[in-house]
Amino acid sequence: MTDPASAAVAADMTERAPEPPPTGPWRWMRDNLFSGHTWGQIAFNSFLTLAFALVLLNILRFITSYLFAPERKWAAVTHNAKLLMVQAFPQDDLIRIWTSLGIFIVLVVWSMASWKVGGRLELTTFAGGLRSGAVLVAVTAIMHHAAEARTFGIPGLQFDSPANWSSVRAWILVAAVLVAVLAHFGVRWSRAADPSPTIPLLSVPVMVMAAVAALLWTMELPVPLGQFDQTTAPIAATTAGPWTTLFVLAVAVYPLGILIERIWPRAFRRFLISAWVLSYPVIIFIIQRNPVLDWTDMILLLGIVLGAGALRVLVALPRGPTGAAVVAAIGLVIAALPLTSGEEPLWVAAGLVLIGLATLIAALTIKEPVVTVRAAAAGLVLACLLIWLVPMPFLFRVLVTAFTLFLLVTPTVGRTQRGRTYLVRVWVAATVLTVVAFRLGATFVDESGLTAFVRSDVVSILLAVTLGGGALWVLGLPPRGHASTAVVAAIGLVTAALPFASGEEPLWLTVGLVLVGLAILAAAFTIKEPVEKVRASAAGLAVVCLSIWFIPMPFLYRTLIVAFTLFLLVTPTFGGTQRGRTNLVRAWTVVAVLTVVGFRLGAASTSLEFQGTTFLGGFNLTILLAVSGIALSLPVGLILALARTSSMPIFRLLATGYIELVRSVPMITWLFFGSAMLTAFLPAGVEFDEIVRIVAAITIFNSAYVAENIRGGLQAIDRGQYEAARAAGLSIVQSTSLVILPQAVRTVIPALVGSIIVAFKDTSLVAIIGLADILLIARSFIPQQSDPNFQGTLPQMMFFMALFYWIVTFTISKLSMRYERSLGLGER
Amino acid sequence: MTTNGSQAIICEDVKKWFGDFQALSGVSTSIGWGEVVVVIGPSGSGKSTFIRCINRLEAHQAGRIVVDGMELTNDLRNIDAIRREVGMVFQQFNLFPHLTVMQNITLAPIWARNRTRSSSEAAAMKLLERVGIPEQAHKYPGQLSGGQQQRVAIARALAMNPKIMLFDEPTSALDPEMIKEVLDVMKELAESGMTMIVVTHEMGFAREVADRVLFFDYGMVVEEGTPEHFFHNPQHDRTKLFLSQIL
Ligand SMILES: Nc1ncnc2c1ncn2[C@@H]1O[C@H](COP(=O)(O)OP(=O)(O)O)[C@@H](O)[C@H]1O
Ligand SMILES: [Mg+2]
Repeated sequence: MTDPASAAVAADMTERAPEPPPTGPWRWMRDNLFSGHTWGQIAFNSFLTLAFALVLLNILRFITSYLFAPERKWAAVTHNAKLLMVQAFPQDDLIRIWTSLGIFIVLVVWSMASWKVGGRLELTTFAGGLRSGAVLVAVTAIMHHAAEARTFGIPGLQFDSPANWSSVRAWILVAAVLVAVLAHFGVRWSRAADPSPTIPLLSVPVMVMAAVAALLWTMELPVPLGQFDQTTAPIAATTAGPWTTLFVLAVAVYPLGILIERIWPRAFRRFLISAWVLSYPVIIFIIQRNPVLDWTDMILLLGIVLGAGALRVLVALPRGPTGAAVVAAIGLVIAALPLTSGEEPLWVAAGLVLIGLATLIAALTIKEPVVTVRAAAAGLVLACLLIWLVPMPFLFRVLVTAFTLFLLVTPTVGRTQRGRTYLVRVWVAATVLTVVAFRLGATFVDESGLTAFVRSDVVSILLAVTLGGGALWVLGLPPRGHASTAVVAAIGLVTAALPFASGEEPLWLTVGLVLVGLAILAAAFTIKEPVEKVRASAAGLAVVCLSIWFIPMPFLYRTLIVAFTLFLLVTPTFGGTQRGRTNLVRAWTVVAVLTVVGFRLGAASTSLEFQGTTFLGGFNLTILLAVSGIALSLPVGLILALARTSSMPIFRLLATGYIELVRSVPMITWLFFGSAMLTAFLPAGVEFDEIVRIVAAITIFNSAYVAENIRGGLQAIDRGQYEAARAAGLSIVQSTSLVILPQAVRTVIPALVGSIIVAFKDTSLVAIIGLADILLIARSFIPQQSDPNFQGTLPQMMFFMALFYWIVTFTISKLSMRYERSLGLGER
Repeated sequence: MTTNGSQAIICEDVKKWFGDFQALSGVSTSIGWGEVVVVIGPSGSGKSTFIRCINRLEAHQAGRIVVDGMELTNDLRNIDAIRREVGMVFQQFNLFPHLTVMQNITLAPIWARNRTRSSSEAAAMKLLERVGIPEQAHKYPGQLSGGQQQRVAIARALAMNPKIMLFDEPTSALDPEMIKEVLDVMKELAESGMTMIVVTHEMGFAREVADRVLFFDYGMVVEEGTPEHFFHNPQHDRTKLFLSQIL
């Protein structure tokens, strides 16, 4: 093949493709606007073109005259920009919005750099767009002139232009013509150097951002910002700084991302994915929470970073050496800090360090699992007893106990049967001790402590401990991997958790807890390999940690569920392989972050208080509803689609019933359901914020459509794909998630994007139930209620809204088209 | 390689129905370690159903199948264990179109055998060299010819280090000039001592490589024997008829 002689022969033999026909605007016009083979045809087509052009020009003239009529008051849009965007968000706290935007932009740009997405745009396409835009602007300017000179037959359209209009128009005209000419010839020149010149796609948004920033610095709009605050700073002055900062950030992060990608290829992708997942709660937290950047938060973050680092060391070092144990113990204890309330005195932290140290040294330096367990058990017993004698906040004791439990099981469980058996014993002993200590400690706190202690359901606690121990014992039996064992164990484990409850929870909570435990354990135990176990449990755990903080229940109880879930997570997963240990670190980090965020989000006792819908409005609300609704309905729809196509009749029935029911009821009904009726369906005492209920309603509705789309994709996949995956040894879950779903989702991306766009536009329906989304503000707040100057500006507000929705949806569909094309390349 | 049991596969009176239609009506045979068995027979005679029962893509309803010392039952752990020991190559290749050749081959080792990415990629490269297409590693299946795709499918099955390989008409969907390249790979595999069951219409392959030939009709083994016996001295009328039609 590489032989030059044969290559030359081959080159001689292949015929050159014919030259493509010449192109150019004149040629294009002749081919498309004035085409024809006979004079008759040409005349007819030319007539059509000219007639159509005339109609177009008149429409344009009408629009221009409408847009530029002096009574149009476009100031209603510009002056209410803040109202439209964030409604009544406190002026002093706008920094939160900017910070969130900054996080978002950094993530977008860094991801683009890391995945090398964006690619390049044909310069011809870009210049073509620029040229058409400039021509449109120039024609508009001329139209405007014409409109000014003559009156249209439309009553009320008077053209009392300001005196400087003609000069402004002249400038615009000249600039537009210049741009058009430059764009036209610029492409020609660069074509001479390179036959198909391209520019980075990214440069387009960068140029737009630069233009916006430049405009903001030069524009002067000395008008009050809106009805809710009386500051008279011009809008440009307040946003110029932030926008410029964002612009600089974007421009700076991109090369940085490229550099990082070059030095450590692919290393940060996983980090970016988790950052994206985390950005959602974090941004909501930033926007919605009551202020004060608490130094505890910083310490918590530091604790997470240090803890993760220490865990890494622990994982990397061969297990055994004392030095490693000391390092790891200190790190682990620091890692425990996120769980503290931040109000403990220093000596408590020091004591914690010592206890953790003792436990870990015991656990890590002794080599045999059995001995390790024994030693750790001894340390645990001591810790559990000691803690309840030390005066400290009740919550903190519980946390220390739970965390000691965590410390105990982490390094010990796994390899041998005997180790597992001992775990069971230790667990039972620890639970009994904890419960006793719990009740003992509670009596110190409680006034009528003694009565409570006597009345406490000792019998049920003992029963729970017995049941839990029994279930764990079953769990410890070989061989691991039985789904039924997992179910038994899960029920038992959850029963075993009951001693931790305050005894005041409603029944449904207990049932819910049982179900959650069941799901996690089934996931953890039925999948055989340690890595998957960690992943599955981590995913389950993350969901639990997040969801728990939205459910109103005693604070203590939430904390316990989180701690217990942590316990569940590490018990079956740690041990065996190096990879399992590495993944444990990752899972731990994510969980710690989620726990802390959830902690702060849901904790009634902290200084952070949920602000609910009060300040949530405008585009801020629209985007929150759209992103939440879409992000939640995708996985729910996925599950529904899988259920509807599964071979199990009960799943099929449930999914089909759900989908058909949801689709046969209008979305507005679901919104009313969410806002007014959902509470009635929930157990007494459980209430969600209205936003949460609305997001639930939107998710209910959209997931049905998403499910049907994905089902279409699933049906398009050949059965052979599934068989090949199964025959290769992949499990049902793996075959579905690694082979079937990626293909199914790919084929339905256009339909999914359609659903996403519909979902975005449908958020405007929430106005009906009284939420102030951007459309409601534009439709009603501004024209009817605010500044008398802006009364009756409904038409222009609607015009602006149309433009606004169009820009957003058009961007989404353009991006998805690009994405589809890049996928198509991969598949061929 | 550790093998369990004296025989790789034992089938005793295996029966299988699709609704009222009986696809397998009592198949009994056993296949030894290292043996290459070619299965032939008219279309619809149950050949595919038979080898799909061996890794339980289809469940048999009566009789016994023992693979590598493990009986095939509804026990999922057994099935998963057996599927890891038994590789399968399909008529339609069934490569995963959204993954590159390399990813196709490493997917199962990474997820089902819990190997690291780097070690399974190194192993995959060796396999691709063995089937003669190392340069295609980073292409997508859609960019390969049929013969190359089927060789990737063989490499994918081999990546799990199976003890037994099943082939269901691996060359039937190929253009004639590509059949040889796939058969060559299979020959090499047979010479290396792999236990193989091959459903095929390539009589040349059967003559040259098979240790034993099974002739299927109406869901039964009508005749079995060495290739010499089978092609030169068939006993059964249906076998004779079938051979006269295809040879
Ligand atoms: N999934 C199925 N459902 C119903 N009938 C089937 C199914 N699979 C195979 N059959 C029938 O079983 C018989 C044997 O099929 P098969 O094993 O594919 O034959 P061969 O591979 O020998 O051509 C055929 O008559 C076929 O129609
Ligand atoms: Mg067949």
